[in-house]
Amino acid sequence: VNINVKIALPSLIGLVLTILSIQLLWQPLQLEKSKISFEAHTNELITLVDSPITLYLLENDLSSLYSVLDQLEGNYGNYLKNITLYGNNGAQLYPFLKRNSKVAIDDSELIHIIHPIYFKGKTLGRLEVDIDWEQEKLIVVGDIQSVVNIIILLMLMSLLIGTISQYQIIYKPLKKLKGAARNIAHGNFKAELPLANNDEIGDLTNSFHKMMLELEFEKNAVNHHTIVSITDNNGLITSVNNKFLAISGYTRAELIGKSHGMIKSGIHHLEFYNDMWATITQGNVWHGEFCNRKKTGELYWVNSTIVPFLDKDGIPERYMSIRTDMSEHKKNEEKLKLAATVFTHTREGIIITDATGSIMEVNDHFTEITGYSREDVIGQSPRVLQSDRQPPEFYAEMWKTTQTKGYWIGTILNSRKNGEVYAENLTLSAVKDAIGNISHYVALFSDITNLNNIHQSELKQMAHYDALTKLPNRVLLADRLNQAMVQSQRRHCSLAVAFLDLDDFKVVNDTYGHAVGDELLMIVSKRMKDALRDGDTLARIGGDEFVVVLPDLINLNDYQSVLERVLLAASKAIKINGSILQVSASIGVSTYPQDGTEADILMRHADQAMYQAKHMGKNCYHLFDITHDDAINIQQENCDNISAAFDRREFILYYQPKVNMATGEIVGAEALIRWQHPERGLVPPLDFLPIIENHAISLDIGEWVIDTALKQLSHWQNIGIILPISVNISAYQLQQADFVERLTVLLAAHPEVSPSNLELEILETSALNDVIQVSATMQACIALGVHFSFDDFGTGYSSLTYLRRLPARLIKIDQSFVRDMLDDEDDLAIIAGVVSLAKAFQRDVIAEGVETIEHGTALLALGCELAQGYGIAKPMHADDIPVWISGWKPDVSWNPE
Amino acid sequence: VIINKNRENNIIKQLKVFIIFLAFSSMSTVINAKQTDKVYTVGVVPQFETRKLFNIWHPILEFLENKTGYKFKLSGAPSISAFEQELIKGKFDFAYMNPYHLVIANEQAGYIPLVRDHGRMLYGVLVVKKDSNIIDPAQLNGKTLAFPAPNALGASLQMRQELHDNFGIEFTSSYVKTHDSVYLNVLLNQASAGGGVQKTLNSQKNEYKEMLRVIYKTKEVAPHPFAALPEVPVEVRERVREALLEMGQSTEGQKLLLNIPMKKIDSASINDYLPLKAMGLERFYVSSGSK
Repeated sequence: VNINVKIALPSLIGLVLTILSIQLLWQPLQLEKSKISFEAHTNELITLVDSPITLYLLENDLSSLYSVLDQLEGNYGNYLKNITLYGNNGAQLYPFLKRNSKVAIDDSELIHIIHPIYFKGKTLGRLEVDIDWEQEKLIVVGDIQSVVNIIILLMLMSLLIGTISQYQIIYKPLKKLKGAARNIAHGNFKAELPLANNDEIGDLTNSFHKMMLELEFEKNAVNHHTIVSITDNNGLITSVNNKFLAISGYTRAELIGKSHGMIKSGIHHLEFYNDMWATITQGNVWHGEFCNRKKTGELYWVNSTIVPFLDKDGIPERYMSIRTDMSEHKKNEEKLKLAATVFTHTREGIIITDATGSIMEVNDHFTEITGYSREDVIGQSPRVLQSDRQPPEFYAEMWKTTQTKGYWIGTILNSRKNGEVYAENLTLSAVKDAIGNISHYVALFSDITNLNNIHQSELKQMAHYDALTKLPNRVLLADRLNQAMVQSQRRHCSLAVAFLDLDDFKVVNDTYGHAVGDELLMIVSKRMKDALRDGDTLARIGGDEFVVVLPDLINLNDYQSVLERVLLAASKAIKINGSILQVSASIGVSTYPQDGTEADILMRHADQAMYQAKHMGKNCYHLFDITHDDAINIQQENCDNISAAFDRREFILYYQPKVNMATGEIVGAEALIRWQHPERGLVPPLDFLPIIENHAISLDIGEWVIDTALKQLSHWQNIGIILPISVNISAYQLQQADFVERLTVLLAAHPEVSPSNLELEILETSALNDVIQVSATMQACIALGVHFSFDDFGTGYSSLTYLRRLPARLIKIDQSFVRDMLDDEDDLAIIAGVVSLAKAFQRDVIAEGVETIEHGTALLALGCELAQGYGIAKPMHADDIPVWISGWKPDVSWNPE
Repeated sequence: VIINKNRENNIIKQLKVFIIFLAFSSMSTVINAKQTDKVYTVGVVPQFETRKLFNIWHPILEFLENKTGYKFKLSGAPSISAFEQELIKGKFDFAYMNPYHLVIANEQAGYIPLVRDHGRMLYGVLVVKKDSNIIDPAQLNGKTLAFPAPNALGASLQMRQELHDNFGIEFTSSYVKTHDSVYLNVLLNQASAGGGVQKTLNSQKNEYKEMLRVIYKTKEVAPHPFAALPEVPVEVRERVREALLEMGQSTEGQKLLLNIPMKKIDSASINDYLPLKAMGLERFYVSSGSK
């Protein structure tokens, strides 16, 4: 029933009750009162005519008497009926004629009045009158009826006015509110609300408005943050928000009425979806992560909560799915995982947590030290490692320091999974995101409990063996080769050095990934090792490069059968993860003493022969041919030549600019040595620097480079150019006892040059032996004002240790990673890892080998802003630098602003 | 309640009006007349109620004023006896009176009759109720007889004189104010017989008339004269007489005169009333102040 009718009903009932009470109660009462009053008035009237009647009776003036009574009858005849006067003898005096019959009216409504007429105690006669009450009654009833009519009219009017005002005051606003509520129920917040008056409806409207704004606000907030879709109980989409459209790439029309199957990624098992459906169809909330597919086919990960909307019987009638895009999160997770895998072989344990301290990633060494597996701790707090040996304030201080200073370094007692307490050196670093908020924590730690006894063999292993294949590394190989050579000399027999490179290994890596590649390397190296004789040495010296040392050859050609077995072993099919893989090997062989008496010569000759084997069609071996290699040999120099060239001042420094790609700033230049050969022209450093490695002449040249760079700084300074120069410095030179002293002298020779403009790039960090000593040397140099950077970072196994311990300001990402980063995801991941770690340790990072704009763009995306390479500028003559500076601009794509 | 009150007020108001009317009807009425010049007073015997008298005489006096140029003022009297007193003193310049009044007024104040009705003669009638067994006035000895007033000429003076002188009966006289009362007294058996005149008997309601029976008539006398004082100048008297006679010539005038009533107006002289004088009515005349 309409609310209007409901509101009007009491008034209608009131109206009926009023009418009834008037008719049944008030009217009889009024009639009774009127009757009494009427009778009284009639008596009054008769009393008034009493005296003339008396007078005329006394005088026998019947004519006047008749006149009075006729007038009485004439004037009041309508209710005074049957006026009759009797004389004292009882005879009827008036009217003239006897009344034969009463007036034909209801007797019950007649009141008979007898009025005696006295004069001086004597009865003169009597007046008898019938009062007709009927007439009066009708008038009274008529009057009451008109009162009733007025009341009905008034009540109807008030009802009408009431209804109109109720319509205006209650119904109209309620109707609008009802409409608005319906709109809101359909998700439309553009509903018109009634004007809010200062009454209860107004309060309701205001509250409703607040509620509506709140709902809209919440819905807006949700829509801004999350991807929302609603499906019916058949799983068909009934509504999606704009974020859903934005991320999926579909239009609303394409999605409504369809199932979510159209954005299914296909990477989850059917069971996954079945579980999800089982959960929500039972009325439960489902949480989880899954992958969806965009219209473009691209995949994206979402974190989703699906909430069933239950009907009154508790049966789901529709579902709301709230998703947040976690592609970025996933990418970061992947990056971190990769960053961690970069250092998977480090001797230190690594824990990476998110900002809340929940563990996201650990490396293998973490497991070795703590006994916890990766699965044990992912998602847990590092608190599982706490040993109770430190008071809570200790931890509080540790976290506080990390948060304020960005890192904490110290020793801490932790507990292994088996309960054993151990001491660790810990570096805890906070990693900040682009806007300076802490996004991750990175903990690096090493077990120092039994450093001296337990890890000695491990250290040895690390130093001499390849971690993947457990084969001797380059260091042990050198040692073994030297021993074998000494032995062969003593026994007067030959030995062969075979340089082995797997054919098409890169294809395996590219096709099946690194993990498969690594496994293949392990299997192949094991098979090849099994094909060797006892006493032979198989070493791994690089990715797919191996060296075999075959000592004690009685006949020079004895190596042939062994190598054939090796070729066979390498080319045997390998089954990994259900895939049949097959590689082959190309082998170059040099013999001792026939092809060289020095180890490196033998290695180089074997290397050259290996290239010959590749040229010959792979899967074969080739013996070094001295005559064939003469042409190459001509180019080979020795220390003496280089020393002579140095004396003839044939060396020159070229400079390659280093820039900040994001800001366009030119941050410095790297000094690169070139040999201006009188016959061969400009000779690149790799053609002569390896020869003088660890020779005294290299120290002289090193000093010359520093001195020349300082002179150049001075010169540029004079012409108004302040451009810091970095020079390469070998581990050998840095570890000279008098290095600081020599540097001091060189700097003193150029007092006009600020030492801070000089940067020393430490090469071959893996060759640094005594970290403590090197650290001291570097600190002393820093005290002089110069800076340090690590060259070729990422290639050495122990880089992390150096990163932690050695105060280098800048880390240079090796060009071998940069060069392939656009094609090789592993290289990209490594760079991302290096950048993350550099940030974690508050070091700057620079990429070398930036050959194209695209390289620069990719590096910027990873957060690496500093770069050098052909894509920016080739190394150039010092005189060309000023012109280059004035003309250089960063690529527009690097700086969107 | 309110309605009741209104109703109450209404009833009281009506009552008041009625009471005032009753009081008024028994009081003398002041008749309007112009005050300029000489205004002649005209007295009229109050044989009718005052209002009726005024209605009859006012248009006649207006007519006379127009015709003669004199001013007249109607002067009433509350009762016949009061009128007689005034008449004897000669208070009215002109007067319309009954014949016996003229006899007395002529003797006392010298009133001279100017005109009278020549269409009929006056006589008294004695009525009884039709169903009464009285057929002869002689049967009325010792009875109560109703008369309008002691000095009403035909109905009372002449009737009593003739009943006394001609029938020698004794009876009780009940003076009941008006002729109408006389008939009603007879009809309602309040009197055995009543004295009236033919004219008033004729004017009774038919139902009354039908129940009455005339058993005796008196001698006829000249009817009521319109007389003037001898002090009123002759030319005035004559002009008034002429005007009245002129009035009898026109239809409209006749209508007015008929109300007096005068069927056929003509001059009158004192000789017309001499027989009346000879009747010795003074024996039955009741002086003013006594009843």
